[in-house]
Amino acid sequence: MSNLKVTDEELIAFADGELDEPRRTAVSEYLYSNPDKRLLIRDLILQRQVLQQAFDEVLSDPIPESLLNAANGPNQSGFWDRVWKTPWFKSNLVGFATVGLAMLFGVAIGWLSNEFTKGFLESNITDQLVEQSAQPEFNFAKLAAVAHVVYSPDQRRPVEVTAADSIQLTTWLSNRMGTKIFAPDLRALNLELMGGRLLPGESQPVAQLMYHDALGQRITLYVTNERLNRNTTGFLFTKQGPVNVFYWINDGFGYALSAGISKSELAKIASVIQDQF
Amino acid sequence: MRNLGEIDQREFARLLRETLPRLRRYARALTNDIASADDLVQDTLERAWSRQRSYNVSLQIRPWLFGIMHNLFVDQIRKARMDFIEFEWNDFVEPSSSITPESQLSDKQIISLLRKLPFDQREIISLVCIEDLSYAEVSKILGIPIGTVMSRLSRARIALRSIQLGPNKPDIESLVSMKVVK
Repeated sequence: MSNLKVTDEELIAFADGELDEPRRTAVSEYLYSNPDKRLLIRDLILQRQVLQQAFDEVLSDPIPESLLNAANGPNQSGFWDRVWKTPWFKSNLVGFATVGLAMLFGVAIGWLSNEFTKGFLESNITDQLVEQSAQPEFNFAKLAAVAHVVYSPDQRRPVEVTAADSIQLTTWLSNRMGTKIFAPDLRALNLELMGGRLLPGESQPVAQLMYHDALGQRITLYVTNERLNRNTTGFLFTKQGPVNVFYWINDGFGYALSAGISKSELAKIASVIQDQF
Repeated sequence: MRNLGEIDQREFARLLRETLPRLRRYARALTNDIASADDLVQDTLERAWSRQRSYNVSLQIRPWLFGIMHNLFVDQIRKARMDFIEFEWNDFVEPSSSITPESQLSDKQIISLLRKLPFDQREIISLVCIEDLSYAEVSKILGIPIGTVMSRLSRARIALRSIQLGPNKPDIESLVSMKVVK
């Protein structure tokens, strides 16, 4: 198992979610016994997040007029040049002039109202484009994915406090986070609670609960109560390299469920969890 | 009277407008300032219109446009013989430590580090990490085999990680785990 050869190229492909089975499983197993390579995977996922964040603001920059014109193509004026030269256009010149005058009024009115709506329209277009990336309140989902990569393959100490006494575990987490935390029961899905740990959040501690199935596949639930005001409607999804994450906000708590399993399997678990709140 | 070409052109213009913010972002990662980035976008749009016939509706517009931008930029570099700061990543020893959340860089810092990479590495890391394209798409855009995508990307990401870590490596404690709140 541990004598398996894994190259840096393959580790990077793993971190980018580009490996197919059975290599993906082989690399996960290799990571169990190679903590330094786990740190490499974490760094690679962080590297991607940091790069995306650094360039995301370009997406919401107002687009210069010259570029919009270039996007619209060279044929805008070409078309009118051609129309101007047709005999059909020349013979209807007077009619066109009348229509043109009427249109001037329309344009004047249109221009006035346009001035009022311009700002609104522009922000609407760019909002759509940055929708997925620029929502700082969803940062916790990215942090959750990184925490999953770091702790789920840990053989020696995957959790700080084991679930031997689940009351003790949740009491400890609740005390540290200053709010009531409870661990969802996922035994109906054959997922057993292993335990949990406290992690640094953006400004205060957050909890990571870990579960595993009969085959040893680990799933983590990240729970935070940092600065989360509005609820989400339904689940949101993000893929951070090899980790799939479903996340949602409910009553001031952010939840992020992470695992290296398929989106549909993960969605099932997420809905069972949500039913318990 | 309307001909089919006109409708296609309108649709084509719409696709270009839609891709504009992402083209600008990619150009920003390739070049060193906003003005040259937008010039590159302008050239790309003009080239796209002149090659409109070679665009097939079944193709994804983004990789197609990025491919055009890549070719234009490579031409630019050749013509102007622009001097890029070549970063000797071999000078750095294999990092034994790791990037910790506390040592995270500001947006400006990471952008300037990215610019220290040789052009081909900077380009591939931007396509994969910033533009979120798959290795297969990147292979088409750059016209290189997947194996080459993987080896070049590997050099780029390990090099960037080495510069990110820098000479001041975090202490041994932070290697073992993330800082645990007491």
